Amino acid sequence: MMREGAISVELPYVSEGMDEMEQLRRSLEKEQRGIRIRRFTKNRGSVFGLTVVTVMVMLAVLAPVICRYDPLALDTVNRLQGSSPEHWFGTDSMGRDVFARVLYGARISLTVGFLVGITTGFLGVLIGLYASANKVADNILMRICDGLKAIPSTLLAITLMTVLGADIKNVVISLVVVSVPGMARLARGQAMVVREQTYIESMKCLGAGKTRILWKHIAPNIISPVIVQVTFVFASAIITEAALSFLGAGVPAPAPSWGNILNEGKGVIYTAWWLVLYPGAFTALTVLGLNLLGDGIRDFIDPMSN
Amino acid sequence: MAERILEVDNLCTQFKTERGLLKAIDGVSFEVYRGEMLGIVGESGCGKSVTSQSILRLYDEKNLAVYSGQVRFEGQNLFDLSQKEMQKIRGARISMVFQDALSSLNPVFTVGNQIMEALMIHQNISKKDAREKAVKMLGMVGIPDPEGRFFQYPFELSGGMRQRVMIAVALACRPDILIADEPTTALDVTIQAQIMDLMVEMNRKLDMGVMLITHDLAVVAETCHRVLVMYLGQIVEEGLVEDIFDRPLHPYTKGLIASIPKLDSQKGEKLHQIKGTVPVLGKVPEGCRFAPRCPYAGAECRTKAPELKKVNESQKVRCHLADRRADRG
Amino acid sequence: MEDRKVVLKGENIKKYFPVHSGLGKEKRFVKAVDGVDITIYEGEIYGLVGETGCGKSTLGRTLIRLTDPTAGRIQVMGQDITDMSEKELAKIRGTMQMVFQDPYTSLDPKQRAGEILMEALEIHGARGKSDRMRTAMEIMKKVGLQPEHFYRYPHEFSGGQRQRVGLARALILNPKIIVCDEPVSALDVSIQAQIINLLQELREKDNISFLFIAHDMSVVKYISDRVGVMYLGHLMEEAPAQELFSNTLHPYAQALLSAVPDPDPHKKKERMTLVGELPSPMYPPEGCVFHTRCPYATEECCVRAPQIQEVEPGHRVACFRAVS
Repeated sequence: MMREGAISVELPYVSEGMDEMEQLRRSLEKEQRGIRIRRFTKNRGSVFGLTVVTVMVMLAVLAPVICRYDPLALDTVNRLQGSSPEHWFGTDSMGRDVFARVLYGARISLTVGFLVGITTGFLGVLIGLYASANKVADNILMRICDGLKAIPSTLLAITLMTVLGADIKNVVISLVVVSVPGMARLARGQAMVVREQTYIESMKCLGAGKTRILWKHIAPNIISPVIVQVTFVFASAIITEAALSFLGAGVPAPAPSWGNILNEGKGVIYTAWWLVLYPGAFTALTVLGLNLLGDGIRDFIDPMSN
Repeated sequence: MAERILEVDNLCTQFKTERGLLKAIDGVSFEVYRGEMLGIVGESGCGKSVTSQSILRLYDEKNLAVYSGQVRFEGQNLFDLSQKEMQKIRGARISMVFQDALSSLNPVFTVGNQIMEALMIHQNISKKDAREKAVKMLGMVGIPDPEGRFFQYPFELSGGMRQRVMIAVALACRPDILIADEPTTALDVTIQAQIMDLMVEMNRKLDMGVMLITHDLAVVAETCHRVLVMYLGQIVEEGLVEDIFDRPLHPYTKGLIASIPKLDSQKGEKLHQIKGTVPVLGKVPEGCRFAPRCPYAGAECRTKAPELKKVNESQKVRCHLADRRADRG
Repeated sequence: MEDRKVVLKGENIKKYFPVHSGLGKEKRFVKAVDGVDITIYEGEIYGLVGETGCGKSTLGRTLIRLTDPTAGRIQVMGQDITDMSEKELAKIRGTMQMVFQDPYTSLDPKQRAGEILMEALEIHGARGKSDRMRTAMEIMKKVGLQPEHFYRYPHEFSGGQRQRVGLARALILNPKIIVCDEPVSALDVSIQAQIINLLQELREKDNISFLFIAHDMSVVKYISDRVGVMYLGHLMEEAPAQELFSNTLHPYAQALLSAVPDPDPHKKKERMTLVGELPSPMYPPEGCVFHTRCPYATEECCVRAPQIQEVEPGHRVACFRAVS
């Protein structure tokens, strides 16, 4: 019990003035934030993850400023050029600047990943919490989730894409469908554990209603594993999107995404390896960064975990 | 007194934490004699468990703990031994019983198997002999129908029975020293009484030194011969049970004894309470560590740390004011 | 005694938990509480003792309807709450509160101490944030917490301080009765004394009744006005504290008492050590539930269950030997 007696400052009972309390709250919040930040930065992995993800986002946002070429501009004279001061990452089989395509691709890949992560997290928590609160709904929802999880995710995504048609919006939809079951299961499982805690019973004892308990006490206590999972879904959405695009079922050409740049590069891998190397490296780095960031976020938001 | 079997000399254990090295134990020295029951008492965070685990070097020395000082057992300093040599001592010469018997026993082996394993690791005996001995051990610790229980798994036993099995495992190799770390804290009073009776009986029968680590002073009063009282990683008082309970010299010991609700108390009487809480390890007060909570603390106590001083034949105390109070009786 | 106001009354309370067994098997129940009558008067501390699994916690929870009784009737302040709906119950929750055993799991880790207290007020319709805050501060002061604790998270507190927050949460709605489920057994002795003294002060000042559940006879003796001893879902003996400890009648209560270690090294007392262990509440013994471990058990005890009856005013016991 190293925590025992964390506070031993004896303060006089100053007036219950709101101003003093407000000041106290601010200074304590500052202190608590300081502890969280210190905990986050202590872990080198999460700092690295945060750096990678930030750099990727900056590159994506600033792509129009950084790039000298239009990612869609054809230049049939300079096809499959290696890297040069003109084209840092070389050019592809239609003479488009690979650097520009990778950066603009980051915009699409990161957007897809982000949207999928957030939507999945939101829907998953909603479904999971609802299932944890209602036995009948639990059985129905969880059986549906099991059913969806039984189909290999890439296969399911491809099928959905075929039905819905190739479009960025549809990529997001099908990836959400693929990843929601896992999230819902996680949220439900966590909610079931939290529901058994004494502090939930103590809320009942105070006369708190079911809705209040669910949203005010269970939800906040399952949020940290959910956020970690969201970063994983974010990362795996980037990979699955790449896989879909690689198979031609993802973001439709000519818009660049890391997946379809890879796809175009696979045919000329022996002559123009950079077409595969750069988008591949960016994907790998981002996924790694996101996974490391996930752990860091948990350290940051969960004051209990040690 | 009898033969001195364990000597702990100026033991310090520091833990590597995010805030740097934290001294969990600071200069603990004591001896254990053959055939005695030595009680180590204190509240959570006082370092009583750390002391026992340090004696057996149970902490990860690479990433967690830094030891200093000496623990002499049979003429050798345990800190000089290799991990391999330590293994020969752990469980065979010095063994340990933990608070939580359920998580200390392996759930996938029968209880008999676990006693046999303890025997076969340390003694070169055949499986058949080990089995015989294991059944005998189960009988010795008072488990009815030892042959039948031999084949049961830990989860099939009640808390008291599991604690008996733990004791059987610990005693299988006839150790010289048994360290019992809160062996009855998780048990009900009637079962606690049974287990403590067993400990006392084993202590007599096997003529070993028993170190009983507990927060429960009453248990110590009933079973132990000598007592160490610890506070914030230091021994604050040491003496025979009679010394400690009849003439406690340290204000902390006094406070602890006074704050136990007693069966012969009068209703409405206020329980004595020690003010404040145990400080965290990183924020050890200057001077005497107990000074901020001590009702008698003077200026000297807040600046100068007292030494553990011998006040009479059997009693030692770490307090500037003890001499004066000892005179007063 | 009889003219004192009754705060809580439970009649023939039973609580059975169904045990899931395989298909086609006979449905079994764990009889956690099996027909207990209990009355708690205004401003008294009723100590309920027994070993793990005797049903004392379940009884405490059932009496304030944190779980629903299988049978029996419960009255709080003269009002029958046995069949109240959740909604109706929520309204009167303020009168009956609970303090839980483990101060480490009974506070929401994501809420600051002050927020926990203010939420209790919010649930019961207290308007105005600054009023709620003021009330919360007053209660915190009452249980010995500092203003600076208001914005602290539970994990920043020590065990004793957390238990104080738990007590503040129970007190803030001005309850008539507080069920304390082993409130000090997770705490160190010196901290335990602080909490026990605090409870006694509250009883004196605010005339609140407590059902104090514990496994520790000495704590119970210290704090209680009346004491009940439970074994395997049954109330075995009940008496005013002084009476129970000076004139212990039930063999189980005697054994429990004699097992308490004494912090006096000179008193090497003769123990009445119980043989064997607690039987499974799924298969309680026939007759008197204690007969398997009772040193005085006769043939009658094995077949017929003794009813709890009054042997002296206020002293009830369920034992053939004690009654005759």
